[in-house]
Amino acid sequence: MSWHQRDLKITDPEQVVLESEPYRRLSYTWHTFSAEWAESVGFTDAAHERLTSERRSKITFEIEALDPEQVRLTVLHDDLEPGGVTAAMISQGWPRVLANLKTLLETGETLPENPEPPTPVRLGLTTA
Amino acid sequence: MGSQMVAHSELDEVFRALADPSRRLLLDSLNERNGQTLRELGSRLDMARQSVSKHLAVLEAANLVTTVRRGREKHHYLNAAPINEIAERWITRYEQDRVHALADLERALEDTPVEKPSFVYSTYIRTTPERL
Repeated sequence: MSWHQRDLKITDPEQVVLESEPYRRLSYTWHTFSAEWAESVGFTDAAHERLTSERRSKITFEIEALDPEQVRLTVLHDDLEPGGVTAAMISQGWPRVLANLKTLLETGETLPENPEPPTPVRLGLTTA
Repeated sequence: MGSQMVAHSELDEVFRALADPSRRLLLDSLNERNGQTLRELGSRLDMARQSVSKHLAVLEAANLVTTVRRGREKHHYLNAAPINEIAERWITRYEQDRVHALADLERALEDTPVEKPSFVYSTYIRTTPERL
């Protein structure tokens, strides 16, 4: 499976779909933190090194239709490295991504640009 | 205004759920080890299965806890969504940075990472599975 993030494409045979049940459940392994990816998000070499030493995590999306008008979406990101950078990054990243998804589906528009500095800056992992 | 009323009643439920010491214990236990089953929670806290189940139902209704089924077992996770809303509502960005810094420091000092950390976020969207 190849991973596309903005203009970046990451391919790795370890990026695989683990489970797929259309409109119900989707699970796949997280992407490799390639050097190009680290550069695109402005990570320091030290932070990138820490990330690549962490185990590959896994993401699962579960969709339940509650009635014809609403669904419950549950996102489970696990197999994270204990106390790792990935865990810190995704736990700050997902709430905004999912709030944005909800806004888009309900209003047809996305949220305005994030006024807060991106996580890595706050974690002191980037040069920016 | 209608949506604000809804938000209020949702928060009421969150605080009602948090008002009980047993339920806070359950949340603490999940914070220590996320993804526990009913049986695991009961034995860790020495609480009767029925009472664990009753309290979990309240926590789930308040959306503080969310469940993920794996085969025949149901695993319970802390839901990041409502906690995040509370934080965004009452903690300013400046303070949030301090909270993060404190949390980082605490983690570094304690150095007792949770054995299998996981992140769970559960939300409700007015849409259909097909559109989503």
